[in-house]
Amino acid sequence: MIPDEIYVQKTIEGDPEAFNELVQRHHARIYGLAYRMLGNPDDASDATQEAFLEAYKSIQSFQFQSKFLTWMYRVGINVCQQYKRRSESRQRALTSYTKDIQERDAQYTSEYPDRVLLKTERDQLIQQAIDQLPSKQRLVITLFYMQQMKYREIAELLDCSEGTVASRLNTAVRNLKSKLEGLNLH
Amino acid sequence: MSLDCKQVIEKFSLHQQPDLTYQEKIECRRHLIECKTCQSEYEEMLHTAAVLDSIPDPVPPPELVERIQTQIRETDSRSVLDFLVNPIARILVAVKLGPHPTFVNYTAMLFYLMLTIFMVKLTFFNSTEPSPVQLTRPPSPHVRIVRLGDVKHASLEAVKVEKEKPNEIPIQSTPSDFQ
Ligand SMILES: [Zn+2]
Repeated sequence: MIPDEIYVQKTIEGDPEAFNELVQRHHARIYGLAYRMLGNPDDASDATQEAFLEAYKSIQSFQFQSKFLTWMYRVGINVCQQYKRRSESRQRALTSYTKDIQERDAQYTSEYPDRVLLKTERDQLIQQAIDQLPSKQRLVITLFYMQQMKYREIAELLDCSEGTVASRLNTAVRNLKSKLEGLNLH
Repeated sequence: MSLDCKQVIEKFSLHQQPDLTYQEKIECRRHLIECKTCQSEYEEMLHTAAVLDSIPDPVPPPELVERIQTQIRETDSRSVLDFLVNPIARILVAVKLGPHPTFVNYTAMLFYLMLTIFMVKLTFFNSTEPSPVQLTRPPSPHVRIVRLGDVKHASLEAVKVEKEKPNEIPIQSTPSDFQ
């Protein structure tokens, strides 16, 4: 397979088709990251689109010192964080509504602990538990467990030490565990 | 070499394992058997992985790639238009001056303001019609005689007539015209 960096070089040289190949190759991973970070498919699609556009516009700044995918993840994370900040104000209006629903769900689950959750319900509850993590922990959980990245890669991406990644992941796992325990997952 | 707890969890985490040497793997396993803290932390990790693995990977909508590619194509055609809209910015980028966007915007605004003034001046103030100044100061004595009608010679009397009956003489004159 032709390495990504060849296509990056071609894009810089003005070949319009080269970047399309990079989109084709990596959109699913960036979408996956955006989905876990933003918690819903619509925002994830918009953020993925924005991230690739941003990457295309600033492709000149790619230094060929890291992998294209690592750089692309960084662009994706930035876009998601901006997205999150922008939508937070919009969300504030909805919060009371979703909180009501979440409380009702939690109450229902605790009232009927033996009820077997449907697969989709269960998936939703796990996603909700991820959503409730602080954003740094959510990011590190997503990168490690869902994107199967190594400590070294995450450290490079987030510009911190592997030790920081390890301890943040550890906190995130414990935090997630306590959230999942209340959900009676099977 | 014995490993401490932090190192074990760091090294023995799920996707790190393929990177470890055989010796390191043995060391980690041995530590996990002996150390309860690392054992429970590692089990927690496995449990989380199992829970998170059980939820399906989000699948992007099929039209997403097309959407991204269309938007990039639009950006390309817009950047051609950019050259017409903001040539100064393009020139500065081309010579790698990299100025602040605000500076570029203000420079472009100034450029267009000057261009507009120049065009307006060229369109509206370049006519062959004589201006009011030219009327009060006719280019030749001949024109002056024709305009003043029956007043053949400029004199102080003529000035008086003009002042008393301004309607008869449509041209505004000043005494200095007749000096
Ligand atoms: Zn230990």
